[in-house]
Amino acid sequence: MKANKRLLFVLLFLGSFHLSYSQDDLEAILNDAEKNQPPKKEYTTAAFKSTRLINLHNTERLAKGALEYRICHRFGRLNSGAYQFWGLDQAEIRMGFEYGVSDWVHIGIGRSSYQKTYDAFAKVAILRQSNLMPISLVYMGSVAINTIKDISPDFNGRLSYVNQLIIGSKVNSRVSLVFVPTLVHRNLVTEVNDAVSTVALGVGGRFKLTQRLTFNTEYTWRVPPQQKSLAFDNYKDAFSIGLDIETGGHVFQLTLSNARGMFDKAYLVETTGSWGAGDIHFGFNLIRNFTVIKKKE
Amino acid sequence: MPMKNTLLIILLMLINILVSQAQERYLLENSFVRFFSDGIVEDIEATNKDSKGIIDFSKNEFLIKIPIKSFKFASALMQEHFNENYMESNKFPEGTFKGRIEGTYDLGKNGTYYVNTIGDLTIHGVTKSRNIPASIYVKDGKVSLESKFMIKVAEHKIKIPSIVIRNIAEEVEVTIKSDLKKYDKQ
Repeated sequence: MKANKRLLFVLLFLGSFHLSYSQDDLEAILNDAEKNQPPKKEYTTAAFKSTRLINLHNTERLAKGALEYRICHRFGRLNSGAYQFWGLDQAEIRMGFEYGVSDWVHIGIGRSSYQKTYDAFAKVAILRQSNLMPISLVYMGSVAINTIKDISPDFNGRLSYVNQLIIGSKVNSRVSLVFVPTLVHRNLVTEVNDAVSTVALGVGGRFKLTQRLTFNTEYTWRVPPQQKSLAFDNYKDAFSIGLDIETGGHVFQLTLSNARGMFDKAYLVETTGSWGAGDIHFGFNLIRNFTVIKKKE
Repeated sequence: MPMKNTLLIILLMLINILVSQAQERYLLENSFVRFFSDGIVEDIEATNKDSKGIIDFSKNEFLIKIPIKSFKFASALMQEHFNENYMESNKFPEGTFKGRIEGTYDLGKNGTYYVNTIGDLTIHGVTKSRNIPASIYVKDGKVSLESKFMIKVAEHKIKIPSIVIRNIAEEVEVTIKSDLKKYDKQ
C-alpha cells in the first residue's frame, strides 16, 4: 500500500512536470523553431541625415531612384561687423543635383560661385555596415573645373581632383563617426611653393539630439609638406560645426565654419579663415529629396 | 489493490492525452503583412515578408512577431523615416500579437472559419488589449489564416509632428496573411 502511494505520488509529480513542459512558453518554442535559420543580413540605415556632414562626404549615399536637389550658401565672415551685417550681405552659393543610381552608387553635379566652378562626383560603396559588418567603406572621387575668364589658357590647369576613402560606422543610434583619408590634386597652383598634391585626413561625426535634430562636426587636417611652404601655412585646416534639421522630405543643415568653399578642393586646401581670428562663416545647406523611381517589392 | 491499479492507469492515460494534445502546433510560413495609411495628401503602403509566428491549436494560443525593419516602402526615404522617426525600430525592433483564439473551427475539414483573436498587441513598445477578428482557411489539409484590422497610431504613442500630420492617417490598416506549417518537434 505504502509503496503504491509513493508510486502514485511520483507519477503525479512526473505528470505535472511533463505538463508544465508541454505548456512551455510559445515564445521559447518559436525561438527554438527559428534558431536554425541563418541570420538575415540587415544593412544599417540612417547613419547620417544627409550625405555630407557639412562639407565632408560621409558614408551615407542616396538610395536607388532618389533624386536630391541641394542648395548651399556660405555668408561672409562674422567678424566683418555690422556694416556687412556680420557677413550676411555677401553670399557664396553652390547648387547641385544628385542621384542614387543604385543602393551602392551615388553621383552628383554642382556649380559654385567660388571660382565659377563646376564639379562632379561619384560615391561608391565598397562595404556597407550591417548586423554582420561593423563599418561602411565608401570611395568618393570628384573632379572640379573652374571657368574664370582670363586666368589660364590651359584647360588642364583648371582641373582639380579629390579622392577619398570614407571609413565610417554608426556606433549606436545617436553617434556615427567617419574617418576620411583624402588626396587632393590640383593640376595648377597659382602660388609659389604650393604643392599640387596634398594629403589630408578628415574626421567627423554626428550626435543625434532628438529624432529630427543632429549635431555634426568635421575637421580636415592637411598633412604638412616636408619642405616649409608659405602658401601651405597661409591656408588653414577647415573645421565646421553644424545642425541637421530634418522635416520629412527636407533636411536643413546650418553651419558655422572657417571654410567658405562648398566643393571638395575648395574647403580642403583653399580655406583661408581662422577660427581664432573670428573668420567664421555662417551658412546652410538646404536639401530636398524626391523619389523618382519607386522600389518594387 | 485492483482499485489502485485502475486509478493509476486512468492517471497515466490522462497525462498521455494532455501531453499528446500539445502537438497541434503550427508555424507561420510565407507570411505577408501589409500596412496602409490612407492620408489626405498621399497614401503610404509598406509590406513585410519576414514575420514569424506560432499557433498552438490544442490550447488556442498564438504568438506573432513582426520585425519592424523588414517593412519595405516604395520610397527609401519614407522607409528610413518610418524606422528612425516613427517606429524607433532600434529601440522597438518587433511588433507582437500574443493571445488566444475564440470560436469554432475544424482543421480536419475544408472550410473558412471566422474566429476571434483576443490578446495583447504590442507596437512601438506600447501594449494594447485587442479583440481582432480573423479567418482560418482549411483546404485539403492545408491551413492558412488572414486578418485585417486598424491600428490607431496615437494609441501606441507614435508621434506625428504637426508639419506632416496631413500626410499620415491617424489610423492605419494592417493586413496579415500566412500559410501555416505543422511544427512537429517535441
